[in-house]
Order: sequence, then C-alpha cells, then structure tokens
Amino acid sequence: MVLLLTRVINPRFSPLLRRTFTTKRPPPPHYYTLFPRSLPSGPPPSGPFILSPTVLKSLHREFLKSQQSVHPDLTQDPSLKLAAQNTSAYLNTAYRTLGDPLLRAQYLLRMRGVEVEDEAGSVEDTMLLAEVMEAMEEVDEIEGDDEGGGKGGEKWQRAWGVNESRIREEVDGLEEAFGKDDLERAGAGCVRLRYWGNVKRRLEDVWEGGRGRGESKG
Amino acid sequence: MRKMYHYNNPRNVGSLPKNDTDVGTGLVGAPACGDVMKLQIRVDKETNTISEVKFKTFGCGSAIASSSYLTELVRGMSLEDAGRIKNTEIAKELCLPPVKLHCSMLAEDAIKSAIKDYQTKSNRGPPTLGKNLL
Repeated sequence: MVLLLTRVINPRFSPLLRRTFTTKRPPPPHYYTLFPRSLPSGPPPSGPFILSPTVLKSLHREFLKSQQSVHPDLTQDPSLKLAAQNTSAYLNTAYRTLGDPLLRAQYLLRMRGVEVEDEAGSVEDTMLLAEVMEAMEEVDEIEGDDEGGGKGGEKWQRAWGVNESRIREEVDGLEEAFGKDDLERAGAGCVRLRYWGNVKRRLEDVWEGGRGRGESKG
Repeated sequence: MRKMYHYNNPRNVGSLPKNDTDVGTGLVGAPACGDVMKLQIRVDKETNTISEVKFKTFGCGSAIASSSYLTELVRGMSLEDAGRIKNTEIAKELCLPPVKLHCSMLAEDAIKSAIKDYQTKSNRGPPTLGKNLL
C-alpha cells in the first residue's frame, strides 16, 4: 500500500505529475540574457563567440552590479533570502562560465542539446592524441631537466608559447564554428581545447614546482 | 587498498620502440577527463603471448591506476585472452566508483587498440596506433 502510494506521488513514476512539475518551473535564464549591457547581441550565431578584453571588462562590471542588487543581506525575509542566495549563486556560475572560452563553448553546446562531456565517449582523433602525448612528454622532460632550460627556462618558455598559440587557434576555430552554427565542429574544438588546457595546467604546475604529476581533476 | 598501490607505485611506466615489428601501440583518450593513455605491448611471435608491457597515462589517478593494473594483468597473457579483458574486471579490482568507470573503459580500449595495431603491423601494414578499432 505504501509502495503504491509512493508510486502515485513520486513524480518520477507519474508522467502526469512530472509534466506538471516541469511546466511549473520555467527553465533558468540563458546566461547571456543576464548581461544585456555587455552581451547585447546574445549568444552565437547572432553574437560573437570570442569576448574581447573590453567586453570582458564590461561583463565584470555588470556582474558586480547585479550581484549587489541581489545580495542576500539586503533582505531579512528568510524565503527571499534563500531566493537571493540562489540567484547570487546562479550569477556566479554564469559569470565564471562566460569568462572562460572552454566553459563558455561547452555551455553553448549543452544549451543546444550537444553533450561534449559524454563519459562513455572516446577520442577518435589519433593525430590529436599523439600530439597531446608528445606535448605532455615534453613537459615531463622540462620538469626533469634541472640545469639550463629547466623550470621557467628557455624550453619552458618555448613550450608555453607553442601551447598558447594552440589555444588561440582553437578559440579562433570555435569563433568560426559557432558563427556558422556548425555544432559538430565546435564540439570537436571543445575536446581539443580541453586537452591544450590540461597541457597548460601541467606547464603551470612545473613552473610552480608543483608535484601534481600528470594529474587532472577529472 | 590495491588501487592506492597502483596509484602510488604505478608499474611499467615508459615506452617501447613503436616501430619494432613485434610492438603494438594503443593510443586512446577520453573527452570526459581530457585524459590520454598510451599502452604498448611486445609480442612473442612463437607463443603469441605478451612479453613486455609499458604505458604512459596523463590523466587522473584512476586512469593511471587502471592502466598500471592492466599492464600487470596482461603480461604473459595470450593476445586472445588479453583482448577479452573487460573494463568491469579492472574497475572491480581497483574499487572504482561509478563516476570513474570510464577510466577503466579507457584501459580496455587501450589494450584492444594495441593488439589491433600489432596485428595490422604483423600483416605488414603501417602502424595504426589503434585507429582501425574505431
């Protein structure tokens, strides 16, 4: 009997309830619409993918202003306080996502129904993997090389420069892909950008003398 | 416990000469983590068994542990048996949580790719680095 009741009440088991539950709550606003001053033309393809330093600066100002207006301390009402906290957290995530090219690209794809972080997926681009492997091995070499050209030395600088230009290239590619609304190409670009981001973090680790040997968060 | 062993003391880290005809190389990656894994096997032509295994993994601890454990597992195995290893076997041994299952899948893909690469090569094909698998 109890089981039957939960079956009726639990929205997971009732398509009708599920429908009412989901239609009651409108989808959260698209991140771009939270910053109309800085991002007036919206997400690509209508707006650009790349955000210039000027736009990023304006985004930061707009973000701070919005945060001030929804600050949880502005109200004493507990339910309003909770709502304010949620809004504030949502704004934080939105700002952080838009400020980073990889997170922004992943978000844009997700909003269009493309899942780029599919756990079961595998990278089929062997050329890319070989290049990543080579780059990572090079960082290992730099790390082990204590004499001339070690941490922060000439070799490090060169590897850093090469990787930065890889990142730039991928971001430019994303601009083009999103501009043409070519989501498949954007997805592939995201995977590559992710890898170059990992190489960058490894280089930063070596620079700091960190011992996070080949570890990524994932 | 065992996972910590393979995490703290990864076995068989390194490379084999990829152009050797008796060496097969598997190179795989997972977009979920941005991991890259290279697994190489040297095959004894007489017995068709794996005589030497090396790996290099740049990724999270679970991916490193999975590949380390796999190298210990497949050494001395026939190619046929090694090709039948399932990721669940690795995940179980290392007690991987569900969110890390893909790390063990990566290891399974890697050994399959390495075997495929060896087989293509021994039929005098060019090295595929496992591309044919996909």
